[in-house]
Amino acid sequence: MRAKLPMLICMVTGALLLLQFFVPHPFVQDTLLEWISNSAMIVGVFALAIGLASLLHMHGNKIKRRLPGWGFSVITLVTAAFVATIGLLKPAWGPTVAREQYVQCEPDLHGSIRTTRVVRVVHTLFGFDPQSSTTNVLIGAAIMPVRANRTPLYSWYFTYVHSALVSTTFCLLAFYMLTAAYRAMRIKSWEAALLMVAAVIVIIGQVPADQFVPLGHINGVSTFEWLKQLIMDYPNSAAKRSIIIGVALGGLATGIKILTGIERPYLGGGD
Amino acid sequence: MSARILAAIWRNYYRQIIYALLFGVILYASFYRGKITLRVSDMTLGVFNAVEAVPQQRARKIRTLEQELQTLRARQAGSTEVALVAAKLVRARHHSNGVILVSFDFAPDVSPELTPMAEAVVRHAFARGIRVVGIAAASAQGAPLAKTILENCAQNPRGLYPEQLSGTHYVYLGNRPDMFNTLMQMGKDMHATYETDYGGRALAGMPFMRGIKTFHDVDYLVVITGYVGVPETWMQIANTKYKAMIGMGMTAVSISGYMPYLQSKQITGLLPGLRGAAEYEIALGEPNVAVRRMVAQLFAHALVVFFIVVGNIEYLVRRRYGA
Repeated sequence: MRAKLPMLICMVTGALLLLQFFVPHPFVQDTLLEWISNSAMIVGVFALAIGLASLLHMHGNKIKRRLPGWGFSVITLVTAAFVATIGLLKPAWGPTVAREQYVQCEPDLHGSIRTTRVVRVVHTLFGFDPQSSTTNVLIGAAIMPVRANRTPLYSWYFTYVHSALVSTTFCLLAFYMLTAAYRAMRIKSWEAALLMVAAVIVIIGQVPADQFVPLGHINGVSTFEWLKQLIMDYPNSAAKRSIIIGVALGGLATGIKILTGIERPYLGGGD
Repeated sequence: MSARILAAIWRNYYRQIIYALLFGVILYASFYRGKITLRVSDMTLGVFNAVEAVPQQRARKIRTLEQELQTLRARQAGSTEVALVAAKLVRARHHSNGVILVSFDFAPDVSPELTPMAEAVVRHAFARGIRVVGIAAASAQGAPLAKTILENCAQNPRGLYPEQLSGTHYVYLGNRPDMFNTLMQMGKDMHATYETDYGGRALAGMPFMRGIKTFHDVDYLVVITGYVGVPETWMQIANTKYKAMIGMGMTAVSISGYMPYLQSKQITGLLPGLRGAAEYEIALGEPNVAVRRMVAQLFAHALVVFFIVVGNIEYLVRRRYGA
């Protein structure tokens, strides 16, 4: 029974999900689809709890046993707790102050609402006013009362800590890629030569190189750009298309095997 | 200094030298004030022209629905059928210049490449009086970023359009867990999927959303993404199932994987990374941050090609004369 029940659930759910693509009846398209979508979202939320438990278990163990790098685990857990806490705080508890400016607004040109007054909220960060954080809040149109005059701590953290760190880390890739290009792209065989020539064409074709070095034109397009498009349109697309079709057929076969119970990866095993 | 010493320095410190050169090149590009010209490619024009055509498309849609309604009334069709078409017509007339949905499916990691692209598309829509629905279908991390982008475009019009208001000219819905099912539900009823906007305002009472219920009420979808798999989900649901027109923008490194979809016309256009953003800005007649960043990219690419050549010369010399 322990093996058959999950199999049955999988088969029935899979069959129900497939129905929507073949049965145009309103019951299937509206009621059933909505029920399935809502159920999937609810199940998806449980993954969050499992993820959190897994994070605590893994890093907790590492700290407990003082394994190498346990200090990073402490940072991970403290940061996770901090971000989760500030995400739950009310926006009004945000530490950032905001300045409100009442300005007259032009009559609405396109919409049906006649906006008469607008409150412009300028978020300030230690006296610094980043223009991108300016917020308009409609009033007088019964949409919402003016209430947001603070930046929630979560938004502050996201913009000034998370975004900055992630962007910086990703941008460092340029440096690694440059050394990798220097070391790896060497003509050691004719296949490597082919790869290198294609790479150089695409790299040059992606930027307006003819601006500084005259490289000629083909059909009114700079030579490298034309060659790049040629590579992208034909050999690249042909290869990608075959991969896409291959993966789709493989996915179809695996899907049928899972639905019919031949493969049962959700039970922790293969067959 | 002899060649031998130089070679030894290069061998021991080539990483540091390459990093310093790249840093110098990017620094120089930041202060470079010369103009660069770019040809707007067909891939970019595919998205630009589709956004440009939204008001005409909406006018055609309204005319078609009016004719359909007249026909139904003339042949005294069932009240349900008439009511359905009448409701569609009311929604279509609500935003007479049309609506585009922009999905900001990226996180801060690829933001330097994709934010200019997203801004260019949103500014283009605002400049043509097209309403914008923003969502972050694939990324919870990208949700606050998308809000900033929309607000920045709305409140810094750069003389292209009047200041735009949230809830009147655009609405931002944020992120919901489980992208696949979110999109499936949006195709049926956006109000059921997103009960409130990102700021917590109920969509039910929002006049803007009276004109939008499903993907059919949106004239064009623009998906800007840095994730593999996200475009497929959009095409599978919005295009294949709900027949919505889609344009895409993605990081330059992912472009090669999606050329087949462009050729099969499942997407109308494809914005290739920063270059796509720069081309879009040029097509819009508002060269801005993406065009400026293209200078840095141009110099960095030149450096990459230079080091590929240097690496190969070094390899050939070593092979011939030994280490």
